[in-house]
Amino acid sequence: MGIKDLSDTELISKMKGLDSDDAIYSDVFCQYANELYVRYFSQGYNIARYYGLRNDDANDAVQNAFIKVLHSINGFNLRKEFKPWFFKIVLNCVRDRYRELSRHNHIEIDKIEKISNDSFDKFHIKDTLNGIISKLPVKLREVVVLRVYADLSFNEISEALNVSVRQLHNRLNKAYELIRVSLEEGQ
Amino acid sequence: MYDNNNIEKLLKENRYEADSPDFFKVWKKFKRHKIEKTEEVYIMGKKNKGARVLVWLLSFMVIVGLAFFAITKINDAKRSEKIVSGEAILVTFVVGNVEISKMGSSAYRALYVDDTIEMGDSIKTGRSSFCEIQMVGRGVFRIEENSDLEIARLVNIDGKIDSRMKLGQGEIALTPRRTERGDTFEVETSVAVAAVRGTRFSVTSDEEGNVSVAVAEGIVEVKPNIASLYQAKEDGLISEGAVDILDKEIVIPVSVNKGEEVKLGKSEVDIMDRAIGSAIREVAQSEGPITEETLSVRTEVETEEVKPSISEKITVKTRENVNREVEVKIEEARTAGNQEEIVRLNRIAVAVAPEKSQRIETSSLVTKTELSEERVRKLDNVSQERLITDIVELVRFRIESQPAGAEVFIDNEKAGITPFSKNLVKGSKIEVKLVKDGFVEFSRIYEATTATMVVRENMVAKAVEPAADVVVEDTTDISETSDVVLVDETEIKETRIMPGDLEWNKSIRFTQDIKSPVVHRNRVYTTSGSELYILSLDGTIVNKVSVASGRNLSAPVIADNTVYMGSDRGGIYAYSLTGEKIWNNDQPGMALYDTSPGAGSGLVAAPSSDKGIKVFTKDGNLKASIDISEQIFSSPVIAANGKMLIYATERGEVIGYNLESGREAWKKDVYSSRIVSPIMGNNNVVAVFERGSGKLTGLNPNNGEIMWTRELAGAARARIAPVETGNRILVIDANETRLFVVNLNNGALMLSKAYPKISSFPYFSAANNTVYVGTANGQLHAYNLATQAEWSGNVGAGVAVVYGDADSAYAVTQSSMVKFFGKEKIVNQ
Repeated sequence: MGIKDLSDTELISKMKGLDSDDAIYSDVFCQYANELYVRYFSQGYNIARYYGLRNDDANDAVQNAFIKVLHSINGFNLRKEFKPWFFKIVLNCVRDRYRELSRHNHIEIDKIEKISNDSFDKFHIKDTLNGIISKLPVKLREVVVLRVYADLSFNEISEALNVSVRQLHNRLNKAYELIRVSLEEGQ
Repeated sequence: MYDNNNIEKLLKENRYEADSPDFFKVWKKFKRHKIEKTEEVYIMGKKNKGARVLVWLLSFMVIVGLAFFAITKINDAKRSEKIVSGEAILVTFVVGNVEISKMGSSAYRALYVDDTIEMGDSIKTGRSSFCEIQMVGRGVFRIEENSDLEIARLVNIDGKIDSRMKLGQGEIALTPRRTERGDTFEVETSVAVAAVRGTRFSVTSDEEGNVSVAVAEGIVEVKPNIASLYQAKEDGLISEGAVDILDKEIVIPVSVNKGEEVKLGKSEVDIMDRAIGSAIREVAQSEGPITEETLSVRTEVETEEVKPSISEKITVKTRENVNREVEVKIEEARTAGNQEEIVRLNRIAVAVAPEKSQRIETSSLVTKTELSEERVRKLDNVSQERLITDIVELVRFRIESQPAGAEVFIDNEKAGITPFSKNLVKGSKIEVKLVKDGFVEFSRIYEATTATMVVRENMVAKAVEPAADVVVEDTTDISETSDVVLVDETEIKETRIMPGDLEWNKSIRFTQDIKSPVVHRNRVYTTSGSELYILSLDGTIVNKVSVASGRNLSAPVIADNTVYMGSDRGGIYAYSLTGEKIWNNDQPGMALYDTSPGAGSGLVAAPSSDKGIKVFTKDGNLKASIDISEQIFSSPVIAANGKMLIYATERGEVIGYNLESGREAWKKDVYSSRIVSPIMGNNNVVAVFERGSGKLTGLNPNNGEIMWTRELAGAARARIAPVETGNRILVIDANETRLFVVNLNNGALMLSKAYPKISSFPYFSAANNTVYVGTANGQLHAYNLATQAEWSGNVGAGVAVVYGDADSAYAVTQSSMVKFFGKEKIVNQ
């Protein structure tokens, strides 16, 4: 069975199974790590972008998250789901970077993007959506990015954010409602 | 134009394309991280780096350890010294919300047992809270609810106790120890001062400032607090020494005896105070500033020339002032018709015009009553016996319970609620009882041995069934740490619990696959390999019995308070509900399918491949032996109150055997394929599931008449055998993605519902009309047949067994047991 066919848990158990002092710096480990990276970088990147980070910061934050994940892979409990654990770390890194930047005013948090009819063409819609999502309250924003861009189930989000499923439903609905209103106002 | 669904779709469609994910960069960073790490180690020394690091680390730890030890020891020594000398008061008992503000600070923080209070500190107690503080070897003080108290003085320069506590509001009870050392204890309010030698008494000051002093032992002297004296001192009219002299000379204190309580009104004292204030001003204006000298000189002169002394002058002036004010007020009261006020004012007039002396008598100002029951009870809290005499022998005892908020009874007296702290004398024993609604009462004797005792007790929820069945699990953990993190006990959080929220998850390990469980009286019975497992609903294995080594047991069947099991090699095993063996009958011969016995009405029928079916009574006596030429794959059932045994053969025949007459009563040959699933049923209906076609048939056990049939699409060749609980037949289809619920009595299809891959036997709880299934992706699903409400909970691993009752749902996996809340409720955390 090729690396591509392994499930996340199998992949991690292989990475954990490598048995030598420097195992986690070995080429074998590198292969598995690369596979993880290919699988999840794009999702992580989207989370970072829609959370409100710019391209470079998003890249950086997600790469840092990967490094953290690789370092702590031995501590991962194989009986748990991988994705909630992974995206929790990603979200933490993104959140940290975002806070750090907003402290230095590198992110204009209050900047309201003008949504005009023009901005609705294909080219701009991402920016428009980004403008809306990255200005949602953090609690709602985190649920949206995990749900949409990490493609997690409610139970997995619940595990990652430590919030009950019922609350997640409410938050997500509220978030979608806000996004909908913003979009319609822009029309 | 948008709704929530297409919002999600819109968002999903608009993802950013990440720049070609350049893993190599990440890998380089990752490796650099490693190199940085190794370099740190090299700094410590290239050779023997491990040992060098260890040596450094060890010496560092030793230094830190020594320093810590020294600091704590010095602090301890200082602290005990202060406590013994009386410079610090020890907090011995805290219940509820008690706060302290250290001298010079306006911020309050929570007060805990074993804290010390020093001069200048203030204590505040909240509603239904109180605290007990002790001057070790000298006195016990108890500050009741809604009080605030300032420790104004504690010791004087000579090391004698000269304690003065300012009570702003509320109540303080105290017992100073009888002493010849000249210690004084005073409690001051804005209105009165109560001073004491060797008594037990309490002082209360209400919101308006009215004071009452109650005495349980000895005598307490009470007199008004003349604030104007101090004001006069501030104004430069009298000297500091003169204040004390005048304070004694002008007002005669009233003695409050044992069993008496006096009340002193604020308005009386105010009138008196104002009068004295202006009297002092007038006298000081005519005679010059009043000092200790002028006071003593005039007194000497007085004896020869019969000239009034300064203090007499002040008293006279005071009398005039009081009378003037009282006259005006009496006039007012008269026009208003307020008789009480007149009486009160007259009392003030009497107080300033005593017959015997020239001084003002407090006794006329106060009202004396007998000690009320409530006061007696409160004063009993500060008896001499409670006085701790030696600091070293104290043990700090703290009890916590899970859940918190249990009432604590110590030696059968209510002491507070958990978490609860108390100081104990070392070596003493106390009996602690924890009581909380819905939980089994907990009781235990503790001996105060170590310097700090922290115990945590888990309270066991009361079972719905008789309590005799409940095993009280005791997880006492006495830790001997000296550093205890105290939990903030004041904050109470409300949490809404939704169905499907996790209550707990405990790990349990089964060696082999577990069979379809039976739940009976709050116990889950299941078999795994050759072992019978009895689990309690709190997630512990109550008993694990090795029943038939080398054999694989069938799923258990419970009837007549007996657990019956078959095995893959035939035989029948009868065990009690607690797991003791009652009897077994090791029939030889192989059964091809591990078929459970059929039991009920005091009988049990065990099929075996080559010996037909043997029917035993519940005591293990053979009742009937039925020779059958075919193999029996399906569990038989005993119906019609023990009269009929219904079994099915490999050829698809269903046979009713009359156990009373010992003959075959009827035979139905309607099935084309063999019947392997257990026959289900009660005394009136038996249901047979034909695996080949997915058809359920309900038969009358007495005559074999077909009562109903129900075809279930997709249920043919189902792998999970149907189960019957509470007259509901639960069938899982062949794909294991659909659950059917059929009413056993009439064959009505009550539910057909799609699920993700189902991995457990389904369960129906008649208590709340809910079906439960577990899925391979680690979910427990509940569906209420009546309200159609549904919820799910995350178990985390493939679910093998589910079970639920009105309040909770349980899921058992190969390695854990998980409990979920099954009902919405609000709890305090």
